[in-house]
Amino acid sequence: MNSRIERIFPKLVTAGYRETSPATPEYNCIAWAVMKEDECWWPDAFGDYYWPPDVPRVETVEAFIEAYSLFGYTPCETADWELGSEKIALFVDSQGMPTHAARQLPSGKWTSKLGQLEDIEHDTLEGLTEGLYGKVGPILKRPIQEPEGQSASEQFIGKFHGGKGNLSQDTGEQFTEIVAEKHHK
Amino acid sequence: MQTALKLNTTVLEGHRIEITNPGLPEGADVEVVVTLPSVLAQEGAAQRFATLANRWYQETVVLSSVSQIAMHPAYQEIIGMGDIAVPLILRELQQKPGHWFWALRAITGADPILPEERGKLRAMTDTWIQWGKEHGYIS
Repeated sequence: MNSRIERIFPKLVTAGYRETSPATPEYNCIAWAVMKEDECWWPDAFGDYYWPPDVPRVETVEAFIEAYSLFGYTPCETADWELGSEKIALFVDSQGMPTHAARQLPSGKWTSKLGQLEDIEHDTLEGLTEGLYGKVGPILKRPIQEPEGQSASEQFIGKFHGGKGNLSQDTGEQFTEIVAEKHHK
Repeated sequence: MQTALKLNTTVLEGHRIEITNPGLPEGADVEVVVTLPSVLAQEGAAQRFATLANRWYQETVVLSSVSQIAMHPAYQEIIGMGDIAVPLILRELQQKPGHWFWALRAITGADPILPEERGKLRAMTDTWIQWGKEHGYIS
């Protein structure tokens, strides 16, 4: 538990969260949503921060959606977990300007980089609302991208059969780990 | 026994310094320290910068929006300090990377960041520190 995080986002306490990285300013939530851990993304007017070339450098939801579309994401209706999809949730302030992005994990929970602070895994998007990030805005999704020849579920089944030998309560976590490993490759 | 008398004062334009105390024994060593207004200003600026920078960090540390970070009132006040803030910002960057690039660019008008460095805080920090050394702001 992190008292500073809980002071800023009190709803996380009841929503549930855990820290998953040390604090660092070297990447931000927008980059972390597409698994970039070595740069900060923002369409700032000065052009000091990274923003995908050819995407308008403006702080609008449309520009952020266009940036994420380069990674295969398209708008969808719901933040609910869907088999075979991974999602990004954009947060917007009262003027509709983007403030934050969170990425859904294969477990259905979410991962967020909190500015210059830690990454967290949080159970719900609502845990980060009503504070500096405003409210949940557009939800984007893309098909989970599988390595050639084997899906994550197939790899899970293969690991299961060659491994522990019987199903247990942690099978979901095993599946999550396999998918997460694949995403980081 | 006190062997030296240290006088701290500020010399203003048109003023002069006189030592009139008749109680000083003949041959006494007297040290007069004159503090120039610019030094006083720098000391005051450093204190003001530290206060503003701490407030800015505490209140923006979870933000990713560079606009929100840079438009924070404390950050804007630091930009308003002008050139005197540049070495203070650069020394802060030497301590830890942070989102000071907007302020440095706004104050100095310089843009030393290479395109391939954009968004990479450590590289941007190193480049600005090098720029600060080359332009005499820090050593």
